[in-house]
This record gives sequence, structure tokens and C-alpha cells, in this order.
Amino acid sequence: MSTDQGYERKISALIEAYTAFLDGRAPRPVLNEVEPEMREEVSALFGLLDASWRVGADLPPLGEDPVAVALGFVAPREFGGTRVTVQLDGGRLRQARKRRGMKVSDLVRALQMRDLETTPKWLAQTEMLSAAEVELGFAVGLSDVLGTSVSELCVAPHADAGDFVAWLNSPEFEAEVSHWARTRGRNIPEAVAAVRTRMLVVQLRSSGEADQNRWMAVLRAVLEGLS
Amino acid sequence: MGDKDVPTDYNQGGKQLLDSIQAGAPDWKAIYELNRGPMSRTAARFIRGENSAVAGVQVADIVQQAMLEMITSGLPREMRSLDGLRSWMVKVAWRRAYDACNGPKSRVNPLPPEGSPYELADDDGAEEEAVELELLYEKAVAGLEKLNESERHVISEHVIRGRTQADVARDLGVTDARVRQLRDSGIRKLARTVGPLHR
Repeated sequence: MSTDQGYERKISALIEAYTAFLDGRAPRPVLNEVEPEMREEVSALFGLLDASWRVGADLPPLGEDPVAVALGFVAPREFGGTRVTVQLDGGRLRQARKRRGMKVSDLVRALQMRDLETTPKWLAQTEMLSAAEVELGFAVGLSDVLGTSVSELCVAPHADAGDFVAWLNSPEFEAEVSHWARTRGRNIPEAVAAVRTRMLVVQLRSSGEADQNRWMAVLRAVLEGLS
Repeated sequence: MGDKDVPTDYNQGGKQLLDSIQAGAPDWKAIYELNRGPMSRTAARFIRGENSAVAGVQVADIVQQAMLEMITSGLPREMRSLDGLRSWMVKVAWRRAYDACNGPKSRVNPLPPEGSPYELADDDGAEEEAVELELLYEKAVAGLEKLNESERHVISEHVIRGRTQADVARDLGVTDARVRQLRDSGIRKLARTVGPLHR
């Protein structure tokens, strides 16, 4: 085997080893163990593989992009898109509206001009509530009109929201799983129990602290995997 | 890839988009449409390798969390370029990917309030590297035209899109071993074209 062939084979072996690492099948090859004369090229190859290895799955058209649907950027084409909602704080909403010098009817008109459907009655009632669930897209429109951020209009997160087991028994968890089970014709109590167990396993494996947003994201990923 | 996600003219509508940010009313749909590719790729990079074993983490969830964070926290109004916006979004996606694999807020400082300087804390340079990797990827995609047709097909389909060697071998009517050869020669040519990652 010539020196050139030896060099080529070593490079190929390193590429193979690095792609195995990126796929989670092998430990990371150590650059310092590579012969000095190869190191510069190998470093560039690893960088390029880091940048490009399996990152380019085609994105769906925006209208079918689950994130765009969930965030309310596009209307879901069919049933099944999960909308992200936030909890509006009625008092904060009222304060923001008054700061802007707007009447309820002014705000309704401004929202309607953005194709966001609402009524003076609903808005007035919402301002009396400590928490009202609305789609994120609606909250974004509201914050735009009122010249503030969504977070300024929303209920502050609870400090005690960190109890994973309590969350597993919460109405939010049951609602999410029940919705999923219904759309797939599965037995709801069985599905809730099975997913609860699976979530516990995931939580134990990750052994990480988390919050409800994270748990909900993991739950949706688990449900997706079960579909 | 194929860059359906990147508009042909990257600057088309760019001024309007930046104006919307500077006015404090970001056009989130346009921002997402323009940056979903870089954010998705950043998330995909994070959840490979040592993080492959973390169960239940998906690219779309990470991107959604990143978008949700930006929408609720706001973007810095000082954003003056689409490149700056892309870097910002890549960094936030990187952070959410980090959280997804390590537990939330394990590294992350909250985004600064609106109007404050928009540098993100990045003590070990990992977030800057995430931006560099995205730029390197874009250079690599631009450099594909310098490869021969077979190499280009293998890099696009196997390396970037992640199709199996066997699938790509069938496309080309060659053996798996030949696909590996084409992959290696293509990667080496591209690496010479795009240069090293500065890390």
C-alpha cells in the first residue's frame, strides 16, 4: 500500500468514525490522536460534518409546518394541528389598553382589522378575569395593537409549577392525552395511564428539572412517537 | 436543503422586516419563514452525537419553544441586519436545544429586556460556534456546484438529508462502497472550498 493510499484510508476511516459519533453509535474521535500531518485536514472535515451531517431534512411547505400551525402563523389545513395557547391576565390587559388610551370598542376594531375575531362583550369579560386562555396568534395581535409584549399581557408563571407528578395528574395533561386518544380512536383511560407511565420513564431517564412547557413538549413528542 | 426554506433573494422584504422589529411589532410569520431552516438545522445539530440518547427530543419542539420564547420576550429593536437576526435566532434555538437535552434554564440566561444590548451571554463560545456552523453549512451548500454530479447527489441526499447509503446507491446504480467513496471525496473537496471552522 502506497503512502498516498494509506493516507486516504485513514481519512476515510476518520470520516466513518466521525459520522458514527454524530449518529450516536460511537464515541467522539479524538483529534489529538490523529497524526499531526493529517490534523489540519481532519479538523476541517469534522467541522464540515458538524455543520452538515443530517441537518437538512426538507422543511414542509409553511402551510403544513406544524410549528407555523401551532404558533398561529397559518391556519391548520386539517384537524390535528395543536395550537399554542397562553393565559391572558385580564387586569394587565385592561391596564395596557388604558395606557394606550383606547376604549374596548377601539381595541375590538383594531383587532378586527387584523382579522382577529372578537367582540366588545368578550373583551370586557376577559378584562375581569384573572386568566383567560387564548391562542398565541391572538395574543400576539393584541400585544401589537397595544404596543406591548405578550409576556406583559400574560399571567406570570407560578413558582410552584415544578411538580412533575402533580402535572401528570393535572387536567392539562389529561386534556392533551384525551384529545390525542380521541383523534385516534383509542381508549382514553388506558391511553392516559400508558402515556403517564411513559412520561415517568422519560423524566427518570433525563433526571432533569423541567417546567410545564418542557413537559408538555416532551408529552407531544411522546404522543407523536406513539401515533 | 434544496433551500426551499431560504428565499431566492435573502434581502427581499428584508427592510420591511427589520423595520417591523425596530418599530416593536415584529412580523413573526415572516421572521419564522426566513429563519426556520437555520433554527431547525441548529436544533438538529444539537440533538445528534452525545445527545442522541436523550429520549423524546424533537427538532420541531425545540424550534417551537425558541419561537415562543422570542414572541413572548420580544426581539431587540437594535436588530439592524438579517444576518444579525439569523444569528440571534440560531442562538436562541441552540439554547432551547440545550435545555431540551439538559433540563431547562440549566445554562441559559433570560433574554435581555427590550431595548437593552442584545449580546447573549456565551462564556464558552458554544453559541457563537452554533452560528459559525450554520454559516459553514450555507457555504457548503453554495460549494456543492463545484462537485461532480455523483458527489453532489451523495452529499445532498446522504450527508445532508440523511438518506441511507443503500438508498443513494440505488439512485446512482452503484454499490454502497462506491457511495462511501463519493461521500469522502465530496466532503474533502467541500472542506477545501469552505475552509475550516474557527474553534
